[in-house]
Amino acid sequence: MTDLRTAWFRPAWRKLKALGPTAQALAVALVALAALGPILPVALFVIAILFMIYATWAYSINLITGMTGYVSFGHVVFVGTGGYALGYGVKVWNLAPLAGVALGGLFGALLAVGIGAVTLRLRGAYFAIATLVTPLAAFYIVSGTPALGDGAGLPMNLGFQIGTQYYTIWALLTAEVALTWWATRGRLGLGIHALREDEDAARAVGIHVPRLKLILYVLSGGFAGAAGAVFAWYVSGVFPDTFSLLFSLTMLAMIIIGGMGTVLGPMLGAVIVLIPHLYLLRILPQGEPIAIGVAVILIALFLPGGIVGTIRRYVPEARRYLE
Amino acid sequence: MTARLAANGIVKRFGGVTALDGVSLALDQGTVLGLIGPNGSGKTTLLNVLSGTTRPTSGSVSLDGQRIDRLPAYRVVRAGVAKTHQIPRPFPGMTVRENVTTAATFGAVARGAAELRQDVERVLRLVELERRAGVLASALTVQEKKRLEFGRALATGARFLLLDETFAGLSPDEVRESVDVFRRVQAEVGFGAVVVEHVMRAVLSVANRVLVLEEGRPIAEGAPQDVVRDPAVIEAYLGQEATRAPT
Repeated sequence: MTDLRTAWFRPAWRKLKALGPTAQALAVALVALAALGPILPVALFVIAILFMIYATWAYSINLITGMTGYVSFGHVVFVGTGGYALGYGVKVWNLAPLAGVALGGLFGALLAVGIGAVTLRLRGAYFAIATLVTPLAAFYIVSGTPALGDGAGLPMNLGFQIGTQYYTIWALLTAEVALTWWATRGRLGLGIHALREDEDAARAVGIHVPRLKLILYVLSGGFAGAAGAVFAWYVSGVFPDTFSLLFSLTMLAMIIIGGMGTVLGPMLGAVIVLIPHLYLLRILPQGEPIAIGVAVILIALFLPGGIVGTIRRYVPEARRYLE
Repeated sequence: MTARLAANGIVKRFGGVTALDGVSLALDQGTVLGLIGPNGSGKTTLLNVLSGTTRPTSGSVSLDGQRIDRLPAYRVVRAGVAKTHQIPRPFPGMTVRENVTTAATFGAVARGAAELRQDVERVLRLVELERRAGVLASALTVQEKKRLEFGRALATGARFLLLDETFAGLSPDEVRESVDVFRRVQAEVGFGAVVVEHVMRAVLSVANRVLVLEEGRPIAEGAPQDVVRDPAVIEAYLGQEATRAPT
């Protein structure tokens, strides 16, 4: 009897065990977030939404900068574009916010195709500088476009729909974490790792490097755009100052602190960056960039590789468990 | 039928400089062509043209009659022509086994997971890196890195290898060891190879034929022992110094 009842989940259980501790821990955290949703007090619920938005951005920039080493300094351009896509869709086409999020993801991905096709030919600092320019351009474009509210942005009145917001961003984050995990293993994982280590050598063993980079960049732009749309929905509006360099730096800070190119790192980075965001903002508004900046400098100096990368480096036994 | 790698009338200009000026070569799978010549004679450029890293200004490269000179480098590898770098460039943060596995995964031969694992172990054995398989590539000695570079090209399943100064920068003992490894592997696997080399003794012991370049032009081709006695070759290597000597 017991055999019959338990037989069905055994293969599933084995598969779950084979995922390894990192994926299991992330799965537990994500399932807990989903399950706790209905019972969280509103104050925490709202913070949890913001946390998941940040985490989605962290995993987004991790897909390109963490996975390939191409530092995307202008990543906020996708966030702002996603936000404006939702704002425009909702105001002009009367879209439901959820459709606006899909539109934000689509625009983020399309923009990444365009920017990536040009800038991914550049390497190192040249790529970083070329991408840095894109949010500056976007700022002036949206500030001068009447349909996008000129410089005043697009305030929205969408009502209080934090439940839908919560599960929308939860689904995005979960999909992105799963994608990140998948991209670190098997054939794809080897290809990405090789590309990060030495692009020319990767070509020399038969890896289609330009396509791989572009795919990662487009996925990254899509998720950043979708999360940017959720953010616009969350703050009931989208404004030109979204395209701020500080936003890009915050995203980079999350993966530098957590561990670039790792599966767990962006989540840790999001937690660590959000704490000063929540508390310092009240005590000392200018404190947040200072605290993040100091943390990034300390990590870059003493723990290159971030939290996860450093542990993996000095504790080889941990490599099997910590990804 | 054995595969054949051929280059026809390769010209390569960089701005006003003509690096290669009408070079042709052909080699069958299983044979080793030594490519020698003074510094700046165009050896590395020719290797880059054959591997698809550099496009020739004119002329063509073909593999079994199919043109490959317009293909991007990764497609040339998948077609079956793999190059090693002069300065070895293993993926430093990967283990030796991961390096080889990556090459086997993306290379010229599609294989199942079990077969792939087998091939990887075979390559590790061939280049004598079995005992270093779990070590990060960055921790290898220069000689080991060179063998890993060779093993990685081998693991792609390429029918033709292009080896850029594999024996340079090694001590005489290491050269002898590496030559032995190369000959043994070549006999077992049977790939064709173009070997660019400065260490003359190494070229003479691995190559079936030798092509000599000077200023981008072929000046001699033939069996190794004949080529080194060719007056034009001696002139190219020693002439400069001989004329300069009196001053």
